[in-house]
Amino acid sequence: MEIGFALLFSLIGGLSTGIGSIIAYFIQKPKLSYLSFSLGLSAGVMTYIAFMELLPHSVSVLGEGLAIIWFFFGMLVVGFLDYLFPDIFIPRKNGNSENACEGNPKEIEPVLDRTGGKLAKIGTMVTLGLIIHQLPEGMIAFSGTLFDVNMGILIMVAIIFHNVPEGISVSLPVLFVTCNKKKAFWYSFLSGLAEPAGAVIAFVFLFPFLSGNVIAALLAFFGGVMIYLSLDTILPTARRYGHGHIVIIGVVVGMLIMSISLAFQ
Amino acid sequence: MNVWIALLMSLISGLSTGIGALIAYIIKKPKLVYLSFSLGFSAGVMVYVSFFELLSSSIAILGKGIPLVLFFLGMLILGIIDYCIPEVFIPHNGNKSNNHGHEGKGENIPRKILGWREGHKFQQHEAAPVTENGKLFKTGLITAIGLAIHNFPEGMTTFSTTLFNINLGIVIMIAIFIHNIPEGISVSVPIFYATHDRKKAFKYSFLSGFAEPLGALITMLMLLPFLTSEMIAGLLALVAGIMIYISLDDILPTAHRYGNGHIVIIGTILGMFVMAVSLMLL
Repeated sequence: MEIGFALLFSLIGGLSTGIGSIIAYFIQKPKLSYLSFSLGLSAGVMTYIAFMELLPHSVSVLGEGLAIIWFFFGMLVVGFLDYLFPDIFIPRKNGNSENACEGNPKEIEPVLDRTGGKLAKIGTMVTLGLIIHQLPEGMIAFSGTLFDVNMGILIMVAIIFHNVPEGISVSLPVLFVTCNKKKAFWYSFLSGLAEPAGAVIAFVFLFPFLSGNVIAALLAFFGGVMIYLSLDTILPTARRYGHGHIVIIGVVVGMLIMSISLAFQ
Repeated sequence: MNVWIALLMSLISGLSTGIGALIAYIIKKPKLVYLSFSLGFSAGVMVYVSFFELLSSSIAILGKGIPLVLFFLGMLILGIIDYCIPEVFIPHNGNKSNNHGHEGKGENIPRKILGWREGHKFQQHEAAPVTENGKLFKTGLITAIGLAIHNFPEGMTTFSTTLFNINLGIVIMIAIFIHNIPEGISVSVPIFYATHDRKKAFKYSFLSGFAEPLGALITMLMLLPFLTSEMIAGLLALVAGIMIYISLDDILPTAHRYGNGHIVIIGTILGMFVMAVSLMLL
């Protein structure tokens, strides 16, 4: 039963990238400060859960030494993935491609000239990169739910909050290259499917060994993954979209929501 | 006894603003990568310690409710300070000031430093030139005052962590020490441009660091009569909130501005790792 929920949550979390791409096209001028707030919120929620819930639980089951090893192992693994597949493959804005498609929201353009990349490869690279990043997130939602369903819901909400902007950041470059709104939508939508795929992988490989100790180790591991994602990916992205005050307000509100909801659990 | 050590440690961590001022003049081309790494490192240390040691110790003593309220109160206080007194006042660009007859002297300051806190945007857009030295000096002064106010709660942080545990206090002292270096730079550069007086620039950035032990001193005077273990536990939660806020809102973004993201996160993870190992050995 819980496994069904776990898979469902990671599916919903993943598919919210589609919402991001819808926002990118149908709203002419998305308020970037909203994105910035929601990314901050998501970082706050993830950081708080990881340190205040996942890691302590793991420590109480496995002892401090082992739990911390898993925690840093999680960071190491996601760091390695990050090194191999850099985060956001957004093409440098070239002169000739400028205004290739009409109706690109102007305010999003500064986001576009971040990472250099060749336009030709971009479609596949974006998808590949995002899939790699979504896999561990799917696993986070999955194992969080196995640990506690309420916790799983909260993690899912956190993931939705940062997948929406992520969906925007995937679909924009694809739109930029292909001028094809549908294609851009499908790319970002498909990349979101990697999330439940991650959950399924976690399920297949871990279910045979699913004991209290394994879940505890998983929690510490994904605690590390969440901290890494928040500090290395989500927060810097949030700052790129908006003002520092908005980001930190998002972070604090995220932590506040988590602390209240954990207190009443 | 511990109280004096705690004061001394907040003094040391505050005075590193002076080191920032020294770096700005002595080293011609500082390797920004090192700064970026060490800022990441100190953010890692502070985040880990706040959550894993301070907040959890506080919860262990006082239960969940009060520490969490104090934790968010710490964030709120810093947020209000941040909102009322923004930290960054560097209105000036190196090129501009050279054009206005500051040649020679101005070149001693690595130009890059001017853009440090404002990031690339600053260098690209070239903020409206402020040509009067008086204005520039005022800028430096306002920065110094702003920093002094920011340093106040930091002094409290080192102080109360040391009261709780000296070893932990030393670690926090080092983290805040690192974080004050770029702050010292951002005070001294505009003052130097306005006055061409190295000593004066150094003096102001040095003085802004004094707010740190002052914060500690005031904490001590106010709390010493009631210094019970519950009181310290409450302080720890408050301080944890302050440190999380500083790390996420100030230190990490600054680190990202100075270097690339990989170096920052390596620093952060290493900082957490060092803390995890040393907390286990403590």
